[in-house]
Amino acid sequence: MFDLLSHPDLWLAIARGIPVTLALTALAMIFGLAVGTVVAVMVDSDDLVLKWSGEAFTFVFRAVPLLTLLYFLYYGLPNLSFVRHGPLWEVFFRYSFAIAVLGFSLNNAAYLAEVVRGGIKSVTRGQVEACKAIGMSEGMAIRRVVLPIAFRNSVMTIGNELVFTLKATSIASAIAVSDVLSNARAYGKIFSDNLSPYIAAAVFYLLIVGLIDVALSFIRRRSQM
Amino acid sequence: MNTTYAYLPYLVQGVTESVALGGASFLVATIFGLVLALIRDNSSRFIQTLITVYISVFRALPELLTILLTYYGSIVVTRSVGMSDLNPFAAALIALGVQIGSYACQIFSDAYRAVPRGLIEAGHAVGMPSYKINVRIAVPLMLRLAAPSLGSLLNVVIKLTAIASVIGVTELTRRAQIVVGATHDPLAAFGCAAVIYLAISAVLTIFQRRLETAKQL
Repeated sequence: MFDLLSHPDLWLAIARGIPVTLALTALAMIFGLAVGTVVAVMVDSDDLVLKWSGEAFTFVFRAVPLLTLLYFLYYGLPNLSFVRHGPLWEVFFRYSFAIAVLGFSLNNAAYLAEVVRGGIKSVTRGQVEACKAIGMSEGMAIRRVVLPIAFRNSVMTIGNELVFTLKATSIASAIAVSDVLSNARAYGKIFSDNLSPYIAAAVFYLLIVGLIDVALSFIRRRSQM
Repeated sequence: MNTTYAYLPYLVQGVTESVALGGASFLVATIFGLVLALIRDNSSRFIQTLITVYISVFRALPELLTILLTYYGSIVVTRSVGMSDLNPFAAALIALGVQIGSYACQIFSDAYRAVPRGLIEAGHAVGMPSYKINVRIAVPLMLRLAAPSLGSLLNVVIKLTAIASVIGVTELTRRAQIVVGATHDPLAAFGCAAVIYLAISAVLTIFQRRLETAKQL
């Protein structure tokens, strides 16, 4: 029953999805962190409009499941004529990979905003007051002091989020992105074996997350020194 | 011309299935995780290693993959013993229960370590047997310490139920797909589904806030 597992072709076919999975994860983390940081600063600002729009953003993208979000973006958006016939259609909205990056980045931004906010809270009052004392403007203090300290304090949480994002990218297989999981599914369809390809995919996910965990523990040991 | 609004009642019925699957998996996972966390801290090296392996494996496996493996794996098993196939809801419940159980176990282990040692030693000092210490001292304190993390875990679980649509559980997202098949209007159908998820999440958040403020009194 599991003889498909001894075919090197199966492993090769699934391994071809690894770059796609990794690229999705990396892009979602980079855009997610960038947008998430902006949202975190917005939520903590004194301007009520900024604060509320930041909170609405996190609420919405934390509440809607990724799969539903991807279906909405991939199948729903082309129904709007300004998307379907707009200038971005040919370069962006057509491609399921681009849509997956968009969806994961939005979702990630909502989660990472909370992480970055936790990091910002860990910056002590004294450090912020010191910035004011030497005459830094508020924006400068945020850029040069608050955010660097916040990121350093939340490295491990961001690492955890990285693992969750990697796992979440498997959902992109539902909108025809050929990542590790969807390659496994396609291979299984050809040989009408629904189990072995998924077992092989599981091995790859275990390996990748294992490597990430080794890297994370290395970073943690270095940051403690 | 069919409009999505005609199918709204059909969509809303999916809430029952989403919430039932999410709630049941959460309950199974919490109990499973709590028991494992208690075993983990009072048992032999071998069992401790087993539990650590369980947690690390499910930390790495995507939930979608776990659900697919459980569903197709269960079909292989039931066919070979000649039973009828497991229905998708049950397969999703098992998969999510086991997977979320590993997250819950980690949360409870952290909470257990945060329980002040002195209280447990005090229990030993007055001659309580260890099951009584667990029931009367450790578990109530663990639950209180773990409450915020468990609240956000419940939110995560409700969202994960959407994935069960891939094996045919007719929850909210699957129903939205079916409605699209009839109306050819994915924007409205998935939009409505998203709004319903927002409503569920809003209710959960209010409930969670109330629980946390009640705890402080």
